[in-house]
Amino acid sequence: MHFLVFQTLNGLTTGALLFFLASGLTVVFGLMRILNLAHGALFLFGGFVGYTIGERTGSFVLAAVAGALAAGLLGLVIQQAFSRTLLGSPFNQVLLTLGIAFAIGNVVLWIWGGAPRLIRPPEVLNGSVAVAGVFYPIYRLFLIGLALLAGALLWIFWERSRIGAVVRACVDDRPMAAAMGIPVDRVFAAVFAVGAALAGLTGVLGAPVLGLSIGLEFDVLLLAVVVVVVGGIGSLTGAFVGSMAVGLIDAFGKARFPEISYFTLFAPVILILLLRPNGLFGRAGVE
Amino acid sequence: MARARISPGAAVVAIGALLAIASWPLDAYWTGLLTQAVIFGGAAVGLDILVGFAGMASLGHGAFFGLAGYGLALGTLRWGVNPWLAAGIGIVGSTLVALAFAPLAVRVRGLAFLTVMLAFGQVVWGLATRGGSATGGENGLPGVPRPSLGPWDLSGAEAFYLFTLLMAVAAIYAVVRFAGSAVGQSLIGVRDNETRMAALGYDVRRLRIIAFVVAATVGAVFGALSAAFNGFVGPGSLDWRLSAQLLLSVVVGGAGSLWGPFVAGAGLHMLETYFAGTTQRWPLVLGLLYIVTVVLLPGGIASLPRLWRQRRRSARPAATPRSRSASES
Amino acid sequence: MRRVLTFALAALLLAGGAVGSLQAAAQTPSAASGEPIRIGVLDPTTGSFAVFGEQVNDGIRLYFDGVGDQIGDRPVELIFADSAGDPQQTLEQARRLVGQEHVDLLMGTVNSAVAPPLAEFAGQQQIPLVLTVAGARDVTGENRNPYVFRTGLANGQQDRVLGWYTAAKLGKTRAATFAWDFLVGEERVAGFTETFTAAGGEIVAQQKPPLGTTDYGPFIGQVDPSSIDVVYAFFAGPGALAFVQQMHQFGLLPNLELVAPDYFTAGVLDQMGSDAVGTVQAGGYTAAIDSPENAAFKEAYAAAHEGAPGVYVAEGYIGAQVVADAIARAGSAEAQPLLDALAAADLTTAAGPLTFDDRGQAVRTVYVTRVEATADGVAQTIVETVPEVGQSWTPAS
Repeated sequence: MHFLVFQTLNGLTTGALLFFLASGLTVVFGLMRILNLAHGALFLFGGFVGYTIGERTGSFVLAAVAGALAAGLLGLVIQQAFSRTLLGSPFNQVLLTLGIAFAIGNVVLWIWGGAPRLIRPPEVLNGSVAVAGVFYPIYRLFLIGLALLAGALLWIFWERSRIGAVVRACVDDRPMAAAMGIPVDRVFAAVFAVGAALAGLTGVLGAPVLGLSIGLEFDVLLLAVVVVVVGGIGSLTGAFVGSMAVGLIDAFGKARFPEISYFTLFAPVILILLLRPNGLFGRAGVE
Repeated sequence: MARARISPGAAVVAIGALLAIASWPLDAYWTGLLTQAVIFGGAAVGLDILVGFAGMASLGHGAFFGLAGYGLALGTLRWGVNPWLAAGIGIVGSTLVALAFAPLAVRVRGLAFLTVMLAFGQVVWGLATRGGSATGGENGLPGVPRPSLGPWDLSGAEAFYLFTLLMAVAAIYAVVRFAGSAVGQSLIGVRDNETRMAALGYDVRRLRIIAFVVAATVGAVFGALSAAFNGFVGPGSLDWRLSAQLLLSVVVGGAGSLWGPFVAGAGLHMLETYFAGTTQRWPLVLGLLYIVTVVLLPGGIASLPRLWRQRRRSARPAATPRSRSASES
Repeated sequence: MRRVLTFALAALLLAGGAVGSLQAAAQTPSAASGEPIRIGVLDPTTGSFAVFGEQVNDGIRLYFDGVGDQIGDRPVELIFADSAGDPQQTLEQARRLVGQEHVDLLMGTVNSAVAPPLAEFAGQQQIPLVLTVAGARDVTGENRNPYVFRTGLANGQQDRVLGWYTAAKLGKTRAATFAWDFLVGEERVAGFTETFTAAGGEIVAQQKPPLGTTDYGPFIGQVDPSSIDVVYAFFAGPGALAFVQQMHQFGLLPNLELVAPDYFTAGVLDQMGSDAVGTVQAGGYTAAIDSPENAAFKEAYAAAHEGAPGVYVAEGYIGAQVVADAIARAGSAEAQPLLDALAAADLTTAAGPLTFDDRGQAVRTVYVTRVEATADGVAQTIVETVPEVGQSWTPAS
């Protein structure tokens, strides 16, 4: 019982962080067919900016806002500078976004010097509480709650709001949306920036659990790509379910079979994709 | 672009040119650098069959490269067999793994394929890293010996360079022949219009599997060469970074051109080695290089001759209409 | 036809650049007096080990700056290259340093994984290699290569002292070990376990998170805190930072004793801050060492940096000290005289006396320290000094 509760909570914590990261990646892909491999680098950049702001102001909230803003701005710059290439062939997207990822990673090393950093959770969320007989850090429970809340808000925004309707229109039929007077280019720019901002926000939110270090950008990128593809590219529901599934598989796999944890994580991924090539919640035709 | 059949004469010319290069007195450093460069260039040519011809971008190709290296290392260091036999075990083993996994992998397309291969690569990487004393774990297996070819001792840098060149010529020749063959041309058809090819009665699935296995085998050959050259194989010999490097080489070179990926695979390796020795900012330099390439040269290195011809043609009045060459598949 | 010719052309172009190097190939380095001694330094300056590699480089630079880049009558030239912590790249850069830069010896490296292939390379090229930090045991083991010396500690060397100290001196006898699942972790835990159990301790639980893990949630939960009284941990950099914090969040610290090798808090002690207070560590260097040699080192460091030097800077500095001492005694940087001089090394470094055993592994003093809170943060104080610790040290010896 103890084991079950504990590892479930661990899986949900990882899943929550993955969801924040994957939601940005999946929306950008769903809308523009862009697989942004610089997403992990934006995560790291946002995290480090958040770290610096947190150290200066002592405020976790300001750190999170700063991390999201900085990464969002950088995302906007990338989108504006390379808008044509980004909409080009998938091969060139891979080349461009990986190039950007390497560049950002090295600039982060340049600016912050490569020493690993830790952002401390806000004072109110420090410490542990008992959940079903298990002592568990409050901050991690907060992350799980936040992911649920964000998932619900994103879903409402996506399905119920006017802006959401506009974005979905662009996803479904770009020429038609343009013909109806929707400023498609601006929608693209905004969504790309929001996706990047989500990555930066995750950098700060994840720092109390994962820390911040050079190289982390690619570790999280691989997981996020897996989550997005497994969940179904462009699907928020898929990103949520995929995140939680990958998080839980990872937690139980590591706890039970630590020596083959890569196998326990990635073998199911292969299986899922072979059974459902479009992912769990993906629509046919999305490749 | 018409794909001419390769005449044996042309092959001899090519081999002769390569041998001429090899006979130039290079110093130890350049010999070593070129050996490794040719290895990465060759592996990229193999991957181009999968990416450029079959249109399947893989982020797990490094696995086949590394598996052959592990086969060679395990064979010589753990089982005490002859290096040639061990290299054979590695290459055949890697090919068999590809043959076993291909029918599954080709069920998916596009990003799903990319991700399945990424996951496959991570599984193989995980097995290598967690293999304990069998695979040397994180530290890998140092001390892989180089074989000798009859009276020809390959342990020297120059001899091994020459041998690598010979192997590269043979492997690339085989790939070029394959690309020009009916199967290679059908692959292009499948890439461009799968439905049509299926309607015409082509076994699309089989074609994809063939491309997958051919690419893996070529990768395995160069992976074994790499292990023998470095005297070492480790998780870095098959991780996703290597896979990404190979994929980037194909794209930078120009997918589907074969020679472009060779130049890019070899050239990028040399640039990386050069920059890593001169500046701590080399990942930034390489990253910017990728960005500049993709912006200025979206067709990759292979589009250079065409662009050049185009410029020359447009410089002359009343040349061929430009629109003809502007379409890029 | 055209395709094949294009290939040939491409290959020709590739080799074209090589021709330019012919000139360089013609030159052979001479060892005449006044000729510079060229030292190739291979440390990671990109990737996750970058921060540590930079510090080792700092230490090496610091020492040679201090002696005016001169050994005897010969100037010293340091040629740095980025190993990126990757064996493949390390080999490529080593080939460049030896083949193109014509260095007389190689030194450096941080992570263990690059050491065995590099040692192999040094043997083939017959070029002396002085390892500063990388602790892979094989390199100074039974099949040791005569071209390789290690001035830093082998994996497990300080952990042996720590195991004995934990059981015999701290009186903690029920341990859980946490170490990344890789060879270094294995070698360290083995060293700790051997002397710990010999002194009456018992390993109650062993957790092996995958290498690079920074979220220890799944592992911490598997250890029943009431069954143990001490935690041994080996992680480095971001892993150590996250571990200490999470042990507090999950409530295992500060109630239990935490013991670790010195690399645990190296470079991240300030970031850990008060979370690290009480951590007992064993290692080859601490800023708290009270000796004229260390005072000189700290003074030189303070001239260019803030704060006290960490273990990585120190290991770079010590490596450079040993190299310079050997070259001076050999009167040459030729391989064989240099190797003989290294083998006979007997000097006092910033970290105390240093000699080599017959496998090229440094025998050094190991310091056991405890992290204490101070007015402006945290600092290590020495609680035990154990002299002449070899790679197979036991309390009896």
